[in-house]
Amino acid sequence: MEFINRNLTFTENSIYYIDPDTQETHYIMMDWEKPIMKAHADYICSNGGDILEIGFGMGISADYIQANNINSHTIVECHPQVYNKAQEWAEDKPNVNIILGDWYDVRNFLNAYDGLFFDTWGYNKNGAEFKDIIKYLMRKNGLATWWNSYNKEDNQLGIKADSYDIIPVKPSPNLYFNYSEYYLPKKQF
Amino acid sequence: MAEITVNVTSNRQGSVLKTGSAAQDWDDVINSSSGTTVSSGVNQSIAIRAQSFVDRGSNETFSCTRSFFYFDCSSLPSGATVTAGTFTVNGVGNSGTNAVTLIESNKAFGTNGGSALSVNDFDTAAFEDQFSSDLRGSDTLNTWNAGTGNSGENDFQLNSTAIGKINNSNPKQLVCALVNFNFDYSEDSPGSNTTATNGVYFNTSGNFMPKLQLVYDEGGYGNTINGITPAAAASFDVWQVNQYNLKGSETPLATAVNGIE
Repeated sequence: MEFINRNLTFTENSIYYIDPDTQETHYIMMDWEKPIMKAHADYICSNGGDILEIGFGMGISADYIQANNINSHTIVECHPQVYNKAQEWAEDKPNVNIILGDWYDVRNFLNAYDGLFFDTWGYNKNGAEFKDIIKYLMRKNGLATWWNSYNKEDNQLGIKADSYDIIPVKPSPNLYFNYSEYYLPKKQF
Repeated sequence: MAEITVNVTSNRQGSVLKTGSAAQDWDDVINSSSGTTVSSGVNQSIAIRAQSFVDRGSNETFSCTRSFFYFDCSSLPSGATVTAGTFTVNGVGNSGTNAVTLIESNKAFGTNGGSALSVNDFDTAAFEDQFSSDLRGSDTLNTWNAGTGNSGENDFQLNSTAIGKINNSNPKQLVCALVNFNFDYSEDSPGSNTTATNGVYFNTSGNFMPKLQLVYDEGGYGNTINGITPAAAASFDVWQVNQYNLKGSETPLATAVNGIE
């Protein structure tokens, strides 16, 4: 079953679904990530300007992005339930534009940005191509970062980062990240 | 030759799932020292599975499920030698590239059926000992049958390795596992975001429990025993001993032949 068809459960501390085949709980996002979401957001907003966020999740990073001094905030979200949550969240935020769809499918609706945070969950049709497409989404000197599931100076997206910030974390039990250090990738274009 | 059906031992069947953590590759998962979940239900749609799924940030996570069975073969007559056999299990459904093979599970169920299936049994599959050459997708078994009746049965002809394990065990038993051939047995990573699945009915009663159908030679004169055919035995000497005994002779001409006195 594709991720966008999963029935998600939203709690104060997490988003998850239970796989009916295995009864395993798959957390999509959890609130222990707050420190690293803040670091991601602060990095891409450090020059202000127009910000692109691919994947809304619990809206943690979106809150931190809004706390910075920026011009606009574009969010791409593929899951219908999360999209609805994002719309509710954005009701009082005039500089937010939310696009429903897989980032690859909607890429032609996107511009170039001063900051970009890529944090998706589940299979996206052309995830392997993101490393080639990202440069078209960035303005000169634009700052990009992305979720990194590896606990080392490497990342599953295959994008060469300029540097990594190492952030101590205490993850709650989950299937997507279980290390005590998070390697936050940073790249300037 | 005679035949016997040995049903799977009560409460000694089920599946073990291993889901890898972030950044673990396929090899890490299939070589794990333990699984994550034991399932003991009757109708299991993912009893045999190889899966890659994409989660956070396009990270690829792998999971693998294996099915385990313990057969107490002590109902074989004393001195019997198994010469052929078939493992049969009813299927639930299937998807993907899902050839299945039967292998030895040399430590599951406490090695002797004394323990229930546990997550630690995940790594007890001895992949070097394949118990059958029948694979779903081969010419001999080209579909994974599904259903609760005859048409849902999947047969695996036991090879000499499996038969040897039965004959050489004491008490006689077979501990085995069904695994995906293409990815698990062959250790080839499934492609990104792909799943290969076979379901299994772990029936606990009736005609369609997982079972072994064994052909065996009975022990005793006139039958092959441990590979010795009747023609090779000194049958005349045995006759002589019996004749002397019948006559009440003090000293038989022969005292023992093939362990018979």
